[in-house]
Amino acid sequence: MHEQLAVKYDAVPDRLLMQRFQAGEDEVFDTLLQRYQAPLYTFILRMLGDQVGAKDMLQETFLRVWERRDQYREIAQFSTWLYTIAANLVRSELRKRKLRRWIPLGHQSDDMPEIDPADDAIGPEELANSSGLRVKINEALQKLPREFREAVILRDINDLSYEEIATSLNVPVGTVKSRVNRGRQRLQELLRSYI
Amino acid sequence: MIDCTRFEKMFPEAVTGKLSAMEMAEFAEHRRDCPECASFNEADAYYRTRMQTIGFVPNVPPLPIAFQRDRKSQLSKRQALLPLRGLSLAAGMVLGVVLVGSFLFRTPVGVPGANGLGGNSIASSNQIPVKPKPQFADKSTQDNNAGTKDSIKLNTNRRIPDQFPGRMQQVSDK
Repeated sequence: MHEQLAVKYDAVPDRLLMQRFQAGEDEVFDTLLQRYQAPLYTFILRMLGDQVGAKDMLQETFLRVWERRDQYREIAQFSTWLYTIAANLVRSELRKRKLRRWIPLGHQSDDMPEIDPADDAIGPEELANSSGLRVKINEALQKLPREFREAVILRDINDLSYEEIATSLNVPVGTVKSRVNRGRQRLQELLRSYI
Repeated sequence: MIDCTRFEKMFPEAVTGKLSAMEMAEFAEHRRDCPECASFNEADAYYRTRMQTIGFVPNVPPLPIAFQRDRKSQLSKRQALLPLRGLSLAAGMVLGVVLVGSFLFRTPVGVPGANGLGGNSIASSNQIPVKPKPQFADKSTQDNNAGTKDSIKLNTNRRIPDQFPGRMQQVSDK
């Protein structure tokens, strides 16, 4: 049923969907969820580096959208508003994890290796290559400072424009460009033998 | 005039000669004027393509059923907890004020009744506890040295608690 509704609203732009959602048409939310869950999950997964945390945070992001739908204003794109919520949640989670590293509380889920669900769709040989590469990309991304990592992921993986990234992260466009450039350089150094 | 996002998108086509003359002119102009894009090269373009194809995760694991089917009840639970959060915050603040207040305005050690064994404690009588009178220096001493440094010294000596290690010495000096 949810998928049927998502197809029904498939061609409707985000702005109109949000208008309807704010007016009380709750079923519209499923279309927004279908539309943005993959890019948002990618961003969160690449930022945190573990699947369990990424899934929880994806859910939390959409819950915030549901709760704060009245706070959304049309001056911003829905996607940038969504990424702003996700980026804030990720930052807060990373702060908590940093604290937990100082005060160890037993086994943490952060240490779990990443098993990418995208691997289900490809053949065994390709799986071996791309899965290994994914792990390497993930490891390399985790070595970048948080500011560089979020800028690089949003630009090079999620393909957001520099302006959209600047709005989402609430920093000037020039800062985003500089972070992306420096992040790219470091990432290319780290992945030189793999990419 | 194209922006940096458009420039990066046009780069593969520019390299392979698929851009029109007008597009190519715009592309070259941006490359000349933008310091960040001036250094963008084939390696960067290749790296970007690889990152997008390998880094992107198209299949998202299903979110919990509670979220998919019972979102409203989940949210109403969260909203029901909000007043409780406020209440616990208020209780914490009151407790904090009481603790700080008791620390700041505690009865000085050495004053009768302060250790709970004196006659003013609630445990020993049902009467309302009387605030212990502060001890002052002898009236004669006060009168003689009123307003001078000596008077302050004397008053301070009288207030030194029993446990204070320097007390005996100060008394004997006197």
